[in-house]
Amino acid sequence: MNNRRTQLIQQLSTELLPVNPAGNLSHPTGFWLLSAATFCSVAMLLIAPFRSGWLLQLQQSPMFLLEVLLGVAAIGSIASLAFISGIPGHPLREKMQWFAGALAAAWIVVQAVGIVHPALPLSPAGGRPHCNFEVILYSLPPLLLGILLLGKLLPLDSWRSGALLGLAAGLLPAWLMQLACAYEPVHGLLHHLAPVLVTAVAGALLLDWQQRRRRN
Amino acid sequence: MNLKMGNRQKWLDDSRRWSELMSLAHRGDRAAYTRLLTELGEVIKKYLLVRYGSAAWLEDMVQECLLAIHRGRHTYDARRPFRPWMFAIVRNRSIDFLRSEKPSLYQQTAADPDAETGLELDQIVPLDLARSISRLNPDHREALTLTKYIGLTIEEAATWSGISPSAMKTRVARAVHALRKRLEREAIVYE
Repeated sequence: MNNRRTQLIQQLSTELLPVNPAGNLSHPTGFWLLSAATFCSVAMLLIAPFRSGWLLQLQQSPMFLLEVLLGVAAIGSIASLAFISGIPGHPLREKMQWFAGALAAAWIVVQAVGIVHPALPLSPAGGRPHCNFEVILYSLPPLLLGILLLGKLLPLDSWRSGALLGLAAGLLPAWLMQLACAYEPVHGLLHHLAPVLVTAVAGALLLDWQQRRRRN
Repeated sequence: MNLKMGNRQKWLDDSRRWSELMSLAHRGDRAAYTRLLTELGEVIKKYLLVRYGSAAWLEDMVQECLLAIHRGRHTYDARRPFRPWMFAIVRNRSIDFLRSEKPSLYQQTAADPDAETGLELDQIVPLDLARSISRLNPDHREALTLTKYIGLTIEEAATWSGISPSAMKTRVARAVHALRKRLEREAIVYE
């Protein structure tokens, strides 16, 4: 065996410290989702109350309930995928890609269908004047927390992992806006969902920067 | 065609042993870790030889891969298979190494599917077969290397390559077919 390699192995073994293996990803994923959802909800409530009657709307409109539940499922699966991408060769990665992709697509399709067949009567009631900026703003602290948690794993493709995390971080406040802001599908697609592209790019840039710093 | 490029039982035993050694290393066992990295270094070298051929910088690449495994060792969970985890790191790190250290070579390797590779494969597989494998396109070469030489299952190889198991199965079948055609053309008999 090569001398330099022997020396490297000796050095790495000498420096070896016990580590806790990143076993169950449901812990960091669940912690992140709970923290992010709590933060976004509280932050939104501090600025303005949620749309009046949103709870009743969930009970009375199955289509609206479906929209909201699909959103929860999509965000949860995208967040899971982001953390799974931090484990090299994770056996569930491909299945989760399809699952998250399908849920996200279904959520967007249901909202797009709402343009023609809205789940609720359209109304400007509860409208928040800067909802698009709020989506981006509220996504930032969860995104930073996620970068911290995901960065502790080993995201081999930091652009992709960061984009997934940014997507999840942006979709959370976007989803909450379905309850907090005026119900209007075109408005929702343009002002709640579209800004998530910004958070996805931000996530990719931030995680890549963090990983490059660690490598150098 | 029966490609006897490795011993499957040995691969399974190796994976189990590496998994146990890494679990010991997680608890701080230096002797186990030294043994693990020593064995992995040899396996990684052989894999990189198949993939990139003999080159002066290959040892640097091996060491970069070992460093990456060291930094990411906490992400290995003994409940998951060892090889896909390890080779995901090796593949990623080797590509990163080429991109940053040898960008012109990276472009050449990516662009030229007929580039001569695997000049030391005669230490691993018969020389004629090695030469023929090295002339396959990158996807076929990788599929054969992962499944027939390194010993990953179709599912593991598919996860590693980022494609579906059915796509990997098709790729392996096509690779074997392409290899058979090439060997026939070169009038080499291998069984």
